[in-house]
Amino acid sequence: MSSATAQSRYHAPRGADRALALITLLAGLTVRDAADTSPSPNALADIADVRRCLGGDGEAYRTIIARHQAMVSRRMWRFSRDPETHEELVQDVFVEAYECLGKFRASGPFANWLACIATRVGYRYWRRERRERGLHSAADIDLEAIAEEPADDPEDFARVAATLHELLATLPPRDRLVLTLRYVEGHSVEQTAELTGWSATMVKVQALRARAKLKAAFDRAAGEDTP
Amino acid sequence: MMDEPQLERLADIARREPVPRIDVTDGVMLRLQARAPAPAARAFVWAASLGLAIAVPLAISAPLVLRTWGDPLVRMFVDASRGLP
Repeated sequence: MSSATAQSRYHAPRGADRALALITLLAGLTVRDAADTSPSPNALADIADVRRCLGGDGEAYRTIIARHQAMVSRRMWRFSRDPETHEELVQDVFVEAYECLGKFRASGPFANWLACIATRVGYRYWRRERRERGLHSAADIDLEAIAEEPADDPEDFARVAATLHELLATLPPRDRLVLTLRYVEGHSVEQTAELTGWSATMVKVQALRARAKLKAAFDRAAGEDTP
Repeated sequence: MMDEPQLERLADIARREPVPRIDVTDGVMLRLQARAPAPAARAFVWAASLGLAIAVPLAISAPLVLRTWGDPLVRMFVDASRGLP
């Protein structure tokens, strides 16, 4: 598809005109700073592609998707292990990112900005899932997969991941989110705070409560009596 | 017993799980194209919104304005017409 055709077929995101001017300014600053901090070539390519998108070139977004879909896919796999839902969530992230592209300020890497959107999309999905289906029951979880140390085999890793996912699914979305980001994704308190938009203290408190609830869920799944 | 070290151990194993590879490029681009309104449709929506924004307040306030100011306005026009040479 030619660039001219692409420009006519995609609409520029909301607030694109004002954002384009700001992005151009910030991108210039970022490029000037590049000599000092040496940002990755991908970060610079992201900024250039965002500028093209804001100018109405929809094909530039194809490049952005290709560059980041592995990261987004990995992240969204923590939110849903159903292949269809997973793919839909990954698409949702990129559609929402496109609609908000005018708000990207290039003050940090595009990947981080995208990760925040992915977290928001995943959290919203969990909340909707909870409203529609309720919480997963701990009594139905088979803990055999996590009883022993798994062999160095991807299938064993997947079984452990599935069991952990089921255990976390017994928690309310907020608790599930903080444990997923802190432990499953392996983010620090500060990174979790940035992704969720909570304060660092809030993340610590939420994680503490969530761990207690997870312990209770684990005990229920193991058939033990909780005090 | 699910304490913090146990949770960290499980999470560490879970992170090593291979994630299915997917390509959403075409799907996303199709969804973006479907969401993009045509220029004519956008202009129509814009004009209709503007029309409604003007017409609705007028329609609501017109009876009240006429009831309150109708007679004085008519009298004013009649008086003005009498005063004309």
